[in-house]
Amino acid sequence: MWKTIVKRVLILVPQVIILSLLIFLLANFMPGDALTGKIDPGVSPARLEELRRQWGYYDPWYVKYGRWVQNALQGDLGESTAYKLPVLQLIGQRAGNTFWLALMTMAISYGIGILLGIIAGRYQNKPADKAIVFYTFVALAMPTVVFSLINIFVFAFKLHWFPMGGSVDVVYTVGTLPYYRDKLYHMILPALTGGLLYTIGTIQFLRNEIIDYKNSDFVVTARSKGVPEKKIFSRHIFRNALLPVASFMGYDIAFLLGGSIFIEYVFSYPGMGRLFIESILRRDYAVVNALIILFAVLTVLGTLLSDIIMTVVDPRIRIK
Amino acid sequence: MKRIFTRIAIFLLIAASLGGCARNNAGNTSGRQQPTLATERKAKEEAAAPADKNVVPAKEAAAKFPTAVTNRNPSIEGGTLKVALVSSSAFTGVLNPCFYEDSYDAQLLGWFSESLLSFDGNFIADQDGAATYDYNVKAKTVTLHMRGGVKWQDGEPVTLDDLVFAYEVICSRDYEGFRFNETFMNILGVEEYHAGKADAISGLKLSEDKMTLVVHFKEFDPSILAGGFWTNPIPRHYYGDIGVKDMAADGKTRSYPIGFGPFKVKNIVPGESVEFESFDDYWRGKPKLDGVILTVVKPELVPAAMKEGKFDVAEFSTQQYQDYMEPANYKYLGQIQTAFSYTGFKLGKWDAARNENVYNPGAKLADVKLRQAIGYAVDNQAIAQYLYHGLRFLATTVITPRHGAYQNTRLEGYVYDPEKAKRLLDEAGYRDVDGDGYRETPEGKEFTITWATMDGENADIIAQFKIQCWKEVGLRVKLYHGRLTEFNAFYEAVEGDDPAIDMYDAAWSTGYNPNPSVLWGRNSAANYTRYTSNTFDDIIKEISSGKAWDGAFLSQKYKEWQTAFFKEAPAIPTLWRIQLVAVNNRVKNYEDISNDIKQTYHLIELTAKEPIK
Repeated sequence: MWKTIVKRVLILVPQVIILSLLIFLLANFMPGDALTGKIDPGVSPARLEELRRQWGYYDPWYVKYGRWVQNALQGDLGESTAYKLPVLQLIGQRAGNTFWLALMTMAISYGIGILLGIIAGRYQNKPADKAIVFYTFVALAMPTVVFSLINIFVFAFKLHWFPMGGSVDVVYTVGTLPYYRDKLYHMILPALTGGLLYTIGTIQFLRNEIIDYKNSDFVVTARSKGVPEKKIFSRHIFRNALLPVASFMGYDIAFLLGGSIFIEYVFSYPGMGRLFIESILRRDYAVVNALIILFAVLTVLGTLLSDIIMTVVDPRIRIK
Repeated sequence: MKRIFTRIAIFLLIAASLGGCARNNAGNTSGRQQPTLATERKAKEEAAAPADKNVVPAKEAAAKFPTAVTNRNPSIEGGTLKVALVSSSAFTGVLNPCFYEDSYDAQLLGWFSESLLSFDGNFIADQDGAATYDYNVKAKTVTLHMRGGVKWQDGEPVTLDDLVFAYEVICSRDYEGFRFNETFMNILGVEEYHAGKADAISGLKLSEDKMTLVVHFKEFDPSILAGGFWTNPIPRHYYGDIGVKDMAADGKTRSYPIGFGPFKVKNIVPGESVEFESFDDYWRGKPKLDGVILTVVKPELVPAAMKEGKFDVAEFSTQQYQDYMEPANYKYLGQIQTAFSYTGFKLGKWDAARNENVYNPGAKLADVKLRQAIGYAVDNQAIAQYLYHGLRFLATTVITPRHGAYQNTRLEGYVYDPEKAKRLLDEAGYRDVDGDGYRETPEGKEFTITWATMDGENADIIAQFKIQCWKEVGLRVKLYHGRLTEFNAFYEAVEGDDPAIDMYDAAWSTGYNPNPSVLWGRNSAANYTRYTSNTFDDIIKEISSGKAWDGAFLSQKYKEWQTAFFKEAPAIPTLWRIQLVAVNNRVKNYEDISNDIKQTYHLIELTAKEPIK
């Protein structure tokens, strides 16, 4: 298995190279640059031209790419033109926020998903199942932005249970207990919003699998041998039904770590998803490049993680 | 102004598909459909309302809103003011006047940093700032005198050496910001310093005690006093040995910046919020508030947040105003901005080698009557009234009422008059020869105008409405690439003189100094129309000349220039605007200083412990 993991990680290298090349080419075709439309009475066009030259915007793409690779190899991914900060420092500021929010969202999403999935599968066609299925359809149809806004309106404005946005209140000192408590408090509503929506996949998978296994041969056999129904469910059905859910976990982690653009946007939560969109619009190339590559690495690692999880939970599967 | 568009653009990309619902759910409970402009206008016409044709004078429209709050309730001791930083994106947090670029950072800077000079209602420097000044037209100098007792927030005295330091930073070869421009080059010795040929800027003469500074200029005209030179110092002792290249990213800019304004930074959550506390040694006196907290909030949430008392002060969007015209717990302040929207005509090319605009008499829209007809054909008042609810109004000229002394109030502007438009087109020889409803060129060829306009708030409705207006007078106008243009693509095409574009819609904010050379001059790359004329050149020269120190002469020339602009019509001014600020009823002594004129933040008081709900 270790061999496979090393191999997979090694494949990453050519993948990242090809990807970074592609990004550079595409960025070259994007209309405008970081200085487009910045002219105003205090900003003279001549100054912007000077900066374009200074920043090497007129160089051909392969020169830019060469320069970028050279710096990247030394651990310098460039500087954000909008934030005027080294890219790594900027992403570092945001990554923590996204990471914790992703973790909480996943916990909620899987917690609810597994619980409701089991109930729905076990009590198929009963009122509980029907209610859960109805919920999945509503959640499936609900745009994230709208659901977020409804939640803010109800829970922040009307009930005053949660703050309306942001990641932490400015009055707390970094590193103190109240600071972390407040961070957690700020995370609940966006995480709940995300969790309630992302959980549908888990519910539906689990429900379908359970229903399938209920009538499968080995379950019928077990039943005919007189194994108690409770044991059949926990031993035979549940463990098998959980497999596909587990296998998707890796992808989910990668997806969530990329940052949920909509939730971060509505909750004014400074994470990586929002940074990504803002940087594209601002033509903040250095940040865009770094983030795309980061997302790519996350996706590959997520897939790998999924495979590893599979081998752990299912002895039939062995990575060769 | 363009920042507004950036904001809108950012919002649009994300909310393109859901924008409508998003707004309605953010507390706009009415959920009603936006009637199209055409149907609403038609309904109005059918009702034969005679008032519809009247121009709403800008000043009258603006008079509806006060510019300061009146609150006679007894004030409480201290308290914390909660201010919304209305934005869809995180603020960048470049908290140094020499380096910041976006307007949110500018808002944050406004609470702890200030200019040495203060400016009066006409945007002219007065003697109420931390420094006073006198000037000598003959010697082409301004002399600054620093007041004693002005302190940086770390306790060190502010001297004019700190201003010299700001110049050294901005004019340095290592400087990568936007601030360095012609106004710096207008100071003696800056060119040499920027080129690395000199160690100091020879035009800045500092006295022994560092409390007097003489600034020597190359050209000296009245615009010098309208923010025509840099007056924001940065603390030399504080930045110490940090190089110009590293200054913007340093913690002294990002996390614990200092200024000499009324409040000092206490804590910053990057991209989200900033907490300020009162700076007790502020030179104008100890601020009345204990502190101020600025928090980023999305525009969609502003009305509900104001209603629920989450904020004391928030900019309010024109779109949301119609549903919250009479709030119970807060009031609106409003002021005409120094900005205008316009339709510009592409009439030439930028010659980068000679650094000037070259007018092309053979351009598609070179006939001035055609351009005027395009102006008269559009009912901008309908747009102002129905889509902006009277918060925008017909711009009669390109100088806004905020520059009242210079504005030519005799000009009526392009008031909607389709008959006049048709007459002008007939005179210019554009007639419908083949009877398809659209006019052909004087040579009888098919005539289509390509129009570039940006995506944004209401942009789609406005574009369709204007195209319809033009169609009514027989002009075939199509959108550039057949659709609204994204911000970056728009400016790339317009700045780059894409030959496919015949006309474009844009906005411009003149700032303190409305000198037309910046946007319409022969040597201005920002003059996207590329139009030049000798009349313009002559008048602009006089506006920027020594004679302009005579106020009456200057005002006369500005008026002449606007008349010439109206006649030659390289662009049609379309709308002026009011920016609304919502202020909670517990706030006292708050003045709308969105244009940064007076520093009065230290006087703000509160009359209740929490915002009133």
